[in-house]
Amino acid sequence: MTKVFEVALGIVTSIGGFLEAGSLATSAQAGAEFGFQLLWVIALGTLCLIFLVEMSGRLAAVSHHTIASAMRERFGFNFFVVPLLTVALVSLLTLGAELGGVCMALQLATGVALQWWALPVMVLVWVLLWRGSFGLIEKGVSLLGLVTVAFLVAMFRLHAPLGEVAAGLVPRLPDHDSGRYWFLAVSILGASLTPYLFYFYSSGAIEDHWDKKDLGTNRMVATLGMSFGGILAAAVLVVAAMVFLPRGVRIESYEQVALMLIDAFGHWGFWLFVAAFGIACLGAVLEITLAVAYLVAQGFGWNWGENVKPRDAARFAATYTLALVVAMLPVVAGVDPLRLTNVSMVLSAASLPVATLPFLVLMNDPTYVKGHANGRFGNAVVLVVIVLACVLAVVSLPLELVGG
Amino acid sequence: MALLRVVMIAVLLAAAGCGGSGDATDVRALASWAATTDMVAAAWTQHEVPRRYSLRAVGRARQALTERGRHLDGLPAAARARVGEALQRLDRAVAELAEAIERGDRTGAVPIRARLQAEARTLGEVAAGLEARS
Amino acid sequence: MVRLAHDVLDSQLVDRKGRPCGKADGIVLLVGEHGAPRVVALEVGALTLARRLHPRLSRWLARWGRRLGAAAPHAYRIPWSQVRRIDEKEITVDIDAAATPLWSLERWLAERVIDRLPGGA
Repeated sequence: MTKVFEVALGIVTSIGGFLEAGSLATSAQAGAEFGFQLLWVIALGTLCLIFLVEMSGRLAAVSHHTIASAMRERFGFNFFVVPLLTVALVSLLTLGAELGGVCMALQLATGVALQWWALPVMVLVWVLLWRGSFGLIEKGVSLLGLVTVAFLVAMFRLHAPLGEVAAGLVPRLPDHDSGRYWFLAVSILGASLTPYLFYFYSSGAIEDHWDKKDLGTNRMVATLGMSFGGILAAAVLVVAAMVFLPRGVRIESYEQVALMLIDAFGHWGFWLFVAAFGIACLGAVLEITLAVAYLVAQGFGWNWGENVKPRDAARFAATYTLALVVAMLPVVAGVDPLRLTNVSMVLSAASLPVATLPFLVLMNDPTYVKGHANGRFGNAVVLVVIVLACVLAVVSLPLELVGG
Repeated sequence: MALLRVVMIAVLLAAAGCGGSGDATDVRALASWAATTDMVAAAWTQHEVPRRYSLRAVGRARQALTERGRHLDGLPAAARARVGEALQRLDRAVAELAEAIERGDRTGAVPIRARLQAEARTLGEVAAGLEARS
Repeated sequence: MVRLAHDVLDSQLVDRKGRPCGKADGIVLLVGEHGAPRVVALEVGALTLARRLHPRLSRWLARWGRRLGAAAPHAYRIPWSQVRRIDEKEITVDIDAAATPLWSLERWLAERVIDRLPGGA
C-alpha cells in the first residue's frame, strides 16, 4: 500500500513540477503563432525527458552517486569543470526567468511593478529553503502546482478539436515563417529538457535514500509523471492556439499570456492563470536554486542536503543563497521576464550535449550502473533529440535575433 | 565551444537591438498588439480582469506599438502610409481606452472596441498583403 | 589492487564520522631511492584543483586567497596511512575533518554568517 502511495505521490509531484515559466511561455507562443503544428515537439521533448529522468533515478539508485559526483569521478575534474560551469550558468539564467515569472504573477495580481517584488520573493524562497525540508518543498509546492491542471480543463471546456490536435503530433515542416518555427521548436525542446531537471532528480533520489528496490517506482514515476506533465504543456499550446491564433495575437509579453484562460473560465480565468503561473514558477525557483547548490556541493565533495540544518551544511546553504541573489539581478535590472525566458530556453537547448553526453556515457558504464545499463532505444532517443536540439539552437538563435 | 559562439552572437545582437527596418513581421506584431488591447478591453468591460492589470496591459501595448511603429521605413510606400494612418487612429483609441479604464467607465469603453478591432483588421490585411508578395 | 586514477582520484572522501570532506583532488607520489614511486598522501583543496587546470591559476588563487585569512583556499594533505577503506561509493579516511583546514570555510560560514541569522542552527 505504501508503495502505491509512493508512486502516486511521485507522479503527482512530477505533474505539479513539470510546468514552469519556460514550458508555459514557449507552448503559449507556439500555439499562438502556429496552431497545433508544434505539438510533436512537446511529445518528442517529453519522450526524451522520460528517458533522462529515468536514467537519473537509476544512476542514483544503483550507484548511490548523483550525476554530478559520478561525472567528476568518471571523467576527472578538468573535464567535469566544463559541464559544471555550463549547467550552473544555464541554470542561473533559467532561475532568473522563473524568479521573473513569480514576480510577474504578483505584478499581474496587484498591478505593482515586478521589480518591487524581487526582494520579497527572494526572501520568501530563501526562508522556505532555510527552514523547510526536502519533502516539504518537493511535495508541498508540487501539490499546489496541481492548479496547473486548469490548462487541461480549459482545453476541454473550449471543445478542442481532438482530431486536429492529434494531427499536430505528426512532425512536419512549417508552411510559413520557418525561422520562427524552428526557433520555437528549439525553445520547446530547451524548456522540456532543462538540464537542472534531471540533475536535480538524482539528488532527490539520494536525499530519499533510493536503492535497487526503487527501480520499479522510478520507472513508473518517470514515465507517468513526465507524460502527464507533457500533456499539461500540450494543453497550454492547444488553449493558446484556440484563444490567440484566431484573434491574431502573438505572444510578446506575459500580459498577453494572462488572458488565455478567460475564454474557458470567465472571471475565474484570470485568477486561475495568475495562481497557476505564480505557483508553477515558485516551484521551479525552489528546485533550480537547490539544483545549483547540489551541483556545486557534489562537484566539490562538500556536505550537502536540504534535510540538514543550514549550519551543518554551511557551504551548501551559502551557495543557494548566492545563487538566488545572482539570478535575481536581471529581474531587478528590468530585463523583460519573457525575453529572459526565451533566451534561457534556447541556451538550455544549446547546452544539452555538454550536459547529457557525459551522463549518457555513465549510464552505459557497468562500473556505475552494473547490470542496469541503458538499452539501445533509450540511448538512441536521447542522442538524436539532444543533437537535434543543439543544432537547431546554434542555427536558429542568431536568425531569430536578426529577425527580431 | 558552439555554445560559447551562440552566447557571443546572442549578446552582440541583443546589445545591438532588433533594428530591423520593417517588414511583414513588424506589421503582424502591430496587428497583434491591436488585437491584444481589444482582448483586454473585452475582459475589462465584462469584469473579468482587475483595473490595475488592464491599465498595465494597455500601457505595455502602447509601448510596443510605439517601438514597433518606429521601424517601418523598409515598407513599400503605399503600405507604409496605410500602416501609419492606422497607427494614428489606433493610438487615439488606445489612449481613450486607457482613460476609460482609469475612470472606471465600462460603458464608455465598449464602443472603443469596434475601433480597435477595425485597426487590428486593417493592419492584419496589410501584413497579409506583404506576406503574399514576399 | 588499487587503480589510482580510476578508483582514487576525484572520489568522494568521508571522515571517520561519516562526513563528506571533499574529493581526492590530488594524489602525492614520492619517488624513492630506487626510482619506484610510492603514494604518500591525498591532497584536497581549491589550490590543488586550480593547479590541475593550470599552475598559474593556482599561484594566482593562492596570492589572492591569502586575504581571506581563515577561509583561504588550501591544499591539505591527508597521509596515505590514514586511508581506511576504498569502495565504489567513497573513500573513508581516519581524520576528524572539522579539526582540519578542510573545514575552514565551512566553519567560517557557520560561525560568522549562519549563527547570526535566525533559524540556521
